[in-house]
Amino acid sequence: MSQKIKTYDAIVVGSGASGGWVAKVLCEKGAQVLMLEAGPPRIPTRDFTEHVWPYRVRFRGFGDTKTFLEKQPVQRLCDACDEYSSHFFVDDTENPYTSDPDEPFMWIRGRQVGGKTFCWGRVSYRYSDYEFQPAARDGYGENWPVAYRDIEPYYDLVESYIGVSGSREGLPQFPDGKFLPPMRLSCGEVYARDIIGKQFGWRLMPDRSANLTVPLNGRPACHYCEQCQRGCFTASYFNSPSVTLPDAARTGRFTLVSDAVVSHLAMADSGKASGVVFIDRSTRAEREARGRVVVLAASALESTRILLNSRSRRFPDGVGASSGTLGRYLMDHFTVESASGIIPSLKSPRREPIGRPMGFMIPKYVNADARFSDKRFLRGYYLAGDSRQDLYTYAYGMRGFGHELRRKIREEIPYMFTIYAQGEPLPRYENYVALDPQLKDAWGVPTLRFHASYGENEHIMAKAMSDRLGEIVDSLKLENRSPIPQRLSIFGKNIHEAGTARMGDDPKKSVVNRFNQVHDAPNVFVTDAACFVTQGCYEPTLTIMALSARAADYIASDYLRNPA
Amino acid sequence: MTHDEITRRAWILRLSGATVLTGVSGDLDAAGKPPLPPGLYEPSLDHLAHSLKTVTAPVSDPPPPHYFASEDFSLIQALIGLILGEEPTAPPVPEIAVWIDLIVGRSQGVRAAARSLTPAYRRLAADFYGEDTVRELESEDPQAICRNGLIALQQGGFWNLDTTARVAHLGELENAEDPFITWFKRRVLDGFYTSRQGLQELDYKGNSFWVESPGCAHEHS
Repeated sequence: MSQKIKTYDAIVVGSGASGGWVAKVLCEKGAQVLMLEAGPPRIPTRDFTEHVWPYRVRFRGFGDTKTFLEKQPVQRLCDACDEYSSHFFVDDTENPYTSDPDEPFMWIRGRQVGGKTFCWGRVSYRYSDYEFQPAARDGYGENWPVAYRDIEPYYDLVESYIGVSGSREGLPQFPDGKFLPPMRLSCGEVYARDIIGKQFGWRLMPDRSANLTVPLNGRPACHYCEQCQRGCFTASYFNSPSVTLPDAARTGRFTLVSDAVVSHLAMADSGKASGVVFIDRSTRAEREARGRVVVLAASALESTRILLNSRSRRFPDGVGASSGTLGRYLMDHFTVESASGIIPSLKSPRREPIGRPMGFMIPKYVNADARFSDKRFLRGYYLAGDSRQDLYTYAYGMRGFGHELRRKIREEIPYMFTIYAQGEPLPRYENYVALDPQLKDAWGVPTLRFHASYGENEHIMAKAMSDRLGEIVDSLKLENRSPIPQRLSIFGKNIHEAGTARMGDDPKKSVVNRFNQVHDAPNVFVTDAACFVTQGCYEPTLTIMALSARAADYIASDYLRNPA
Repeated sequence: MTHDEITRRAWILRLSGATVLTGVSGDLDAAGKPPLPPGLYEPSLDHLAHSLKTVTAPVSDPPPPHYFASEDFSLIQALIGLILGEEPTAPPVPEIAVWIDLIVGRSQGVRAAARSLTPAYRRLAADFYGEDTVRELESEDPQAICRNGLIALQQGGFWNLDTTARVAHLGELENAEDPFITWFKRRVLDGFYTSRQGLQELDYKGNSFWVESPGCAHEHS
């Protein structure tokens, strides 16, 4: 006997930054939405660990290395994954993947209601046409089918709602937004701002961050405990479970099913999706959900994995694969990190208040400002970092014992300055993911195999980045400098994976159109960073949210009204 | 003051935390709104209470050691006391000793886990941290380091010396980069500066409630 399955207006797969915005916009526009999330719900009174002191936890904040090695050998490499917050990251033994032996990929994942928005860095930058239309300047690759003017209203919408603190700078290559007041620079950053401004002509500014500096929409301002990655009881930084998803829920048109691991799209003979097939994370039972529209917002690589795994006679290589670009053009930023040292003039016996959840940044100038052209490579990079008093690690190098040692540690506090550079990777066809032919995850879903490495352009740019970091620490006259790394970060390390289902007007060259709609299956949308054509050198999340809100607007206003 | 008493700092944290939330509109009170599905949440005083509970709750007595024999554990406590200039029973020496007992006891498992990494995970770790760090994780043996270090101190008559002479001897060992003292002192520093007493001594001003963004209030030229 068959049981009638409810058909929703839309199924949204994934509950993070992208899914949260899609659900909010669709529900508020009247759609019945089912959200499927692969992980469990997080309960603040149980799972949040902010304000917990290190002497309250078993390993004093250093973590249980044995368990990390056994259960999270990849996730532990992320600096936000520690003794307080490891539960916001996946168990690698349940979620394996493979890569070329000589080209490791670092895949950091958070599966829970809210996804990675629990532990994201909150850095929120707009892309400009230097990012959306780069091929128009240098001739490499493809432009996005949208320009800054198309996305600008959605940047406004998202920033105004989630709250982004930042300073207005008026730089054409780094658009200002609807900002809340900026946070303050530290003393070390003020020192560096003045020198870097004079010597390099570059502007150092407080980072643009999705932390509230004033109350907004019922959410209190940040209280500056600097423990965002442990959860936030005041909901003072953006995460979807406390900002966008409650709005969806309050419409009465939102159904959230957690612990639902989506395996593949269910495709009808028409070539459209009838819904999705998912596996109950606890019981391993296979279930089906039906919707008029399916929105994949599961993170760039998880969404592409679902498309690749949606194979049928009509779609033998997966849904969206007809162009041959599905899985291709995988990108992640590369960094040269970190140049650091001590600012001698700021050594002090007095502790300063700390707790800002962000540091400073210097936007992209190279190849974005005619005064800073560098013909050795295409595209450019930006710089960011932090400057503050060291807590106590300087004590490792101090000789002596007892109260005299403790007095020195207390009274000779060094002031650290740390800076790194993050560069734009070129989208390259040869960087791709495919389904691993053998390996499956704990729920029987085929895993991904990565083929990703950086090319000549990235290596040349990294050398320039490294040289520039050296010039900056020289100009600041830092002491006790760390050696400046010469090599690039591991692919995936920056957790800004993008591409693999790129956007374009031409179905022969792209997977989704300018409204994130899969060319091959018009009721399937991909709204996360899988759709990115290029990545710029800036963090992707604000752009993901703006694109998601825009796609949801299109789905509600156009597609659901006239699906033909 | 006992551990059960609420410190002045804890009171300040509690009060300023309440101040932070007092400045918030009535939206903080979810009364009258339909409940949200599990996993969604709003700013809540319940969450604050949960957080502050960890600030004000008493520290329980340290458990007995699991790895070190009681005689060696006494020596460990005495050494921590010497390094910090405290009596072996003075807080936070016992809690640091318990933590060192924990990490030394688990170190064999850490080494085994490091050696059991798949080639792909090992390669990733080596690319991330550097080959030397991975090799150290695979080979470092804190149990042997501590065992040999304690034996050497015992055989050298360290415990027959008075306190001043003991500290002087530790200084000689440190200058000679003795593996045990190097390893042990770093753990003592980690243990101390993650303790309530150590953080207070540093006048650590983080993990707090500030009304506005901390930052530079000076003019620099």
